[in-house]
Amino acid sequence: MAITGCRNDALTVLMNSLGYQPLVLAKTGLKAPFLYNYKDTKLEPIGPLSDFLVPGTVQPENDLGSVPEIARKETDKKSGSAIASFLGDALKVVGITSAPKLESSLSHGTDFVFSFDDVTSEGLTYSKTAKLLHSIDRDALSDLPPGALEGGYIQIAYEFLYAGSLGMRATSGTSASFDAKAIQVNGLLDIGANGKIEATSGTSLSFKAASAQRAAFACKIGWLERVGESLKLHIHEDAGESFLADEAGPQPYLLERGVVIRAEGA
Amino acid sequence: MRAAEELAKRQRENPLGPDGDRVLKLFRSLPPLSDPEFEQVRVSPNLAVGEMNFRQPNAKAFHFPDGSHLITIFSGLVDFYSSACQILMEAGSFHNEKGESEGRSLEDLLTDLKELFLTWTPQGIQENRPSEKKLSTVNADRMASATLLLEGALRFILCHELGHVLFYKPSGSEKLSTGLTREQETISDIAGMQTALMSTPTLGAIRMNLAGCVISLRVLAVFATTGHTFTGDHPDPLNRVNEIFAALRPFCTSPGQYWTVSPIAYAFDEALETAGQRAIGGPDMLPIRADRAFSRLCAALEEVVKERQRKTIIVPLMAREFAEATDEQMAEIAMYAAQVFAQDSPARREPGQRWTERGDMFLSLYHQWPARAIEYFDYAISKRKQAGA
Repeated sequence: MAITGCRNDALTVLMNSLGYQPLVLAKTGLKAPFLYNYKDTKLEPIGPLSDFLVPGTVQPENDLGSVPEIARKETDKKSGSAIASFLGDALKVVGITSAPKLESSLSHGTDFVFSFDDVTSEGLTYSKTAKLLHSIDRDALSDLPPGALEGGYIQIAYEFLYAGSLGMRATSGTSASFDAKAIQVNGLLDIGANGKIEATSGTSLSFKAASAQRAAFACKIGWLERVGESLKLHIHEDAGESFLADEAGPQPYLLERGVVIRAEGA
Repeated sequence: MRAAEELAKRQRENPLGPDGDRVLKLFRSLPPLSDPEFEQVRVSPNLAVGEMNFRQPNAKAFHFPDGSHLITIFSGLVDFYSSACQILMEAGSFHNEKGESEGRSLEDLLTDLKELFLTWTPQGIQENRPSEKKLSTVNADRMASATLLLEGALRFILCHELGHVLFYKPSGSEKLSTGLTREQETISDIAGMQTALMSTPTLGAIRMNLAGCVISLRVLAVFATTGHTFTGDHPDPLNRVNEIFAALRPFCTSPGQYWTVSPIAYAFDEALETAGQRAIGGPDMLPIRADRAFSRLCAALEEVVKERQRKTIIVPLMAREFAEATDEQMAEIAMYAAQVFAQDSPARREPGQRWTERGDMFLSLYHQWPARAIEYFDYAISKRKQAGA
């Protein structure tokens, strides 16, 4: 099962409402638009869209932006073993790849919430991505997993979200002994050589990587349908045929609401 | 199969209630369908069916590029029908002169149904009012009948949705028009009705199933007036109710059979329409309809010949309609009466439907009907004799 973490975490729900699918990716440095095969809740990376374009196709520069709606928005409380597990995945997002080592006293009796800061987006708009699909190299499509395109399993992540730093805060009403500065000084939390920890308050820590190699932690995604000779990118949830109209209007397409999807090989 | 994966995903996103997948359970109980094309869809390995836990009272069909299809009924629709069926089954079969019966009073029933419609407006759903609404407990017998009625309604919806799969035509163009034509919608409704009628040999269950079909559409017709937005590709639900009754006539082998299978459908349809009208501030009483009036007469006569009611209920029950019906309506009622009550009516020879006793009872009350009604009955019966001669 490639679905990871708790369902309907506050940060996941917020990202979903903004049209983003939270992810745990295997690699840093991936650029949108990127193709995946998503079947039976398994997200398998295929490659950048550029690999499937007719040679010589000019791909527009990715758009860059900041996403203040998500920056510093906190997850639900994590406790016990979920702390290390979440921290390990979240550190990869900011480019810290070594597994964190926590002193057991650190998490004992203390709940934490996490947040991403300096959140930026990079990718193409739907219209630019859809336009690129006119330049698909038909021969290259044979490199896709057999039946995946016909089955509607091929996905395009056309915008990724990245974070510059990770915040971790001990929530109120927990262990009074928690001291962020002491953790920083005494090395109760080891994140390896390529990351640094900073105490931003008495109860909060911030994690940053030494390098700028980050992994995306969410994406905007659509699925590809072969319609005649062309490919169509669907970025809204299929409304189906019904007698009542959907009162909420078209909803963004997501692999699955309320969860973080872990890409294969992560 | 994409359809099954999509259903599983939606059910993970919004887990079902403690009763599990009520729609799948019912789908599995569907009998083979008489229409071979519909039957082929029912048994197709490319079809997934299930409940989705959304509050909106809706049903959907999805089509996927791998050729699979998903039919789903939202929990909101199941819950609404379930509440409506329980309320309808709380009523007694007939009310005496004081409006009393062994069940709840007709007024209480209409008030409950009206409140139900007002609770399930789009705004009410948004405010989560349906989950706060608690129904009074009904006894086991009535609950069993309510369940039969609910299953009839849902089975009809499921069969209709099978039509959306059967008639789906994937388009090769960019613009995908997957909606059914008006004719295909009607065919789907009729297939649903026929399945309802043929799914059981028991008269009581047939009546309840037919009532289920009719109330499922009448509820939608009321929704159309209480703020719900209908998609452009479905026909007006009110027309669909009328078409179901129209389609039932040729499907029945005789007028006697038609009036035998339809009384509960007529009664519940009228109750829901009345409640819906009250919910939007309309008049308390509906205009008279000849078919409803005659159905009520047939049902009352049946209750009396089965000794479940006294003969004295019949004349007062029909008083308003016989006094206020238009000339055309009176002529229509009289024509129906002649078809099944006249001494030479073939209905009297139909086994098990007690038309002979009902006809005799009707004729024994002749002198008590208003003079105007007698005139129409005499004319219709004599015309029938002439036609027979």
